Amino acid sequence: MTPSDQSHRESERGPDAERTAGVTAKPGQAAGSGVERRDAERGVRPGGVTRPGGGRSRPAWRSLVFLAVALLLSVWASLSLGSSLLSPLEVWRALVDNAGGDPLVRVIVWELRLPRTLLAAMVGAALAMAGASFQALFRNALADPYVIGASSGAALGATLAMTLGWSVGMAGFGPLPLAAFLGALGAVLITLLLAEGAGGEAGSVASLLLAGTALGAMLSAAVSFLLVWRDQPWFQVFNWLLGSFSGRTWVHVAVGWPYLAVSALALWLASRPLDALAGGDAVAKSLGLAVRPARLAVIAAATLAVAVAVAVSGIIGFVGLIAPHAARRLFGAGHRRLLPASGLLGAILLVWADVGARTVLVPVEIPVGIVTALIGGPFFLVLLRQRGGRIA
Amino acid sequence: MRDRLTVRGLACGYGDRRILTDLSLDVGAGEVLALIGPNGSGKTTLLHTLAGLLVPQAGEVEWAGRSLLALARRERARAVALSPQRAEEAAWPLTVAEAVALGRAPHRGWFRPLTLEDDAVVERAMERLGVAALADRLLPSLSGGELRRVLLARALAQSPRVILLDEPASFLDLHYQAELLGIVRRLAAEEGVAVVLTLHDLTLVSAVADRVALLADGRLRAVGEPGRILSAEHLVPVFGPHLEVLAHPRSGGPLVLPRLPGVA
Repeated sequence: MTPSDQSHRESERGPDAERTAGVTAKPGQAAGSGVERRDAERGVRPGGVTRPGGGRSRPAWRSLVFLAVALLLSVWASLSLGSSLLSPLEVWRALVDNAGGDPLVRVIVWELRLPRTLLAAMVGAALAMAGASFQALFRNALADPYVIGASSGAALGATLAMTLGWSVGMAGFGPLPLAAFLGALGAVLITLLLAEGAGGEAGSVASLLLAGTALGAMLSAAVSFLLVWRDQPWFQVFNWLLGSFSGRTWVHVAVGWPYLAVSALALWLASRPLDALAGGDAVAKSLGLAVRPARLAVIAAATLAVAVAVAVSGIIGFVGLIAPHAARRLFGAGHRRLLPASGLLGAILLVWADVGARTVLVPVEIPVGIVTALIGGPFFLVLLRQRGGRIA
Repeated sequence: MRDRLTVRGLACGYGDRRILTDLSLDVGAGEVLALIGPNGSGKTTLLHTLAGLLVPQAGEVEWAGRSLLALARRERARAVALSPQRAEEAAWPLTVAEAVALGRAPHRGWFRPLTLEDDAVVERAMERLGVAALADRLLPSLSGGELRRVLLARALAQSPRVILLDEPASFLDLHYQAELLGIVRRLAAEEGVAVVLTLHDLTLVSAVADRVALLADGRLRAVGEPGRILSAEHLVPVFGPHLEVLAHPRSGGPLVLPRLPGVA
């Protein structure tokens, strides 16, 4: 709590208290029985506290628990599905019983499927939360986690690392993920600087979007140029660009989760500023929000999540676009509920996409990005059609 | 004496560009002041400066003798609420209750949860504006009139001393115009808030405003009661000759009507 917050709290007990009481009108009526009576009339269940800022009659928190259970079941299913089918019971035994059961099953569950499934869930959640944040920030339903250049930056980083034979790893990242991570961060940073230099109101929404788009095009061109010019075996880059959880291990999970947890928490803490920003800069400012710092903080948190996601799994499209859309339909746009809901939906989506990626063409595994695009594209179009092009 | 919003020697604009110069005004608690003037005369710029969106180039803005300019952003948002002209949140599916609850952010901060006291203020603001029944509706599903009332409810939930309304009546049917401006009048009187609003429809001015400020050419041309300012003498030099001022048959107040050139 900052000192000014503190003094504000105290001042409320002072002269301001009178003021607040004035607005609350007849004190007994406002806080007490009147509210409850109206709830009863409206069919809000008695005993439940009426929270204008919260869920009210939307059974939001129960739905979130439902989604969490659905995620657990999806993970469980993902552990039993694959090139060799395991029964749910076998999976359960391998998970809880360290000594007993088939050792081969234990290896499949613990060493092969569990890490990549957890990674898929983490990455899905991160991309979806970042997507939801960017959509609110840009007031644009088509914004995805890569909207300000993170994906093309990551692609260029990875391609450079491969063509130059870079082999330095750091902080648990292998050379290629590290290069992708740095590329993503670098691209977003350049986008921010370009947008600042573009004049107008510094850090404004439109200049960010335009700068991101322009930079993305340039970086993509650079990637193509590198691939053609050096005549590299581009298969490796290509495969990585499409996103995959193939061969991911506990190392990736261990490296990724702290970053993703921090950025998820930061984004969730920014829910109310995001609500205000979605109403436009004038509204946010007149509500006392420091708009530019808030926007930069959200961009930083979302970019960290996206850069780590790209580093561990490549570029996976559509999850960050679809999951927030679906979540807004189910939960509305209040970010306190929307962000957790988007995260859970994104996780579920990507876990199942990964299941698809490794089971559809057994024994060949297809990049998970192809699955998300194949499922996500039509899903998105249906959504668009049903809503007549509206945001949620 | 009642508290007043006092503007002295204000100069404002965007960056180095100056829109308004040497403007002095005051509005008392419970009073409604209408800003009128041709397009581009700086009505919105003035509102944005009063709301703290723009830093004034010169001059002073005070409430009850205390400078508003010196206040921190959030402190200022507890004193002054703005309902902007373009309602961008109309496209974003917050519920009405959530949108109004944002008005408590200047009091509660951006991270702490709202208290029951906040909830009561929000609840009352929604009832005051007649939108309590819409609490669970999503903003994009509202009509223009409902949305305006929701945004006004949010301004009221800020528990401010001053409410600034930018073209609250534009794009509304006659019915909703009358309803909304009626609410504005009553809010000012009953909550003791000073209201400053911009109106480009001059027929609405005398119905809602206690006083009128006429802006033109970057200056305050005249300020006073509607009966005095809404006269051909003041309006024609600013708006041109294509207007007519009649007396309202019942109230006797001024009615400003357009007179089409070339039509008898």
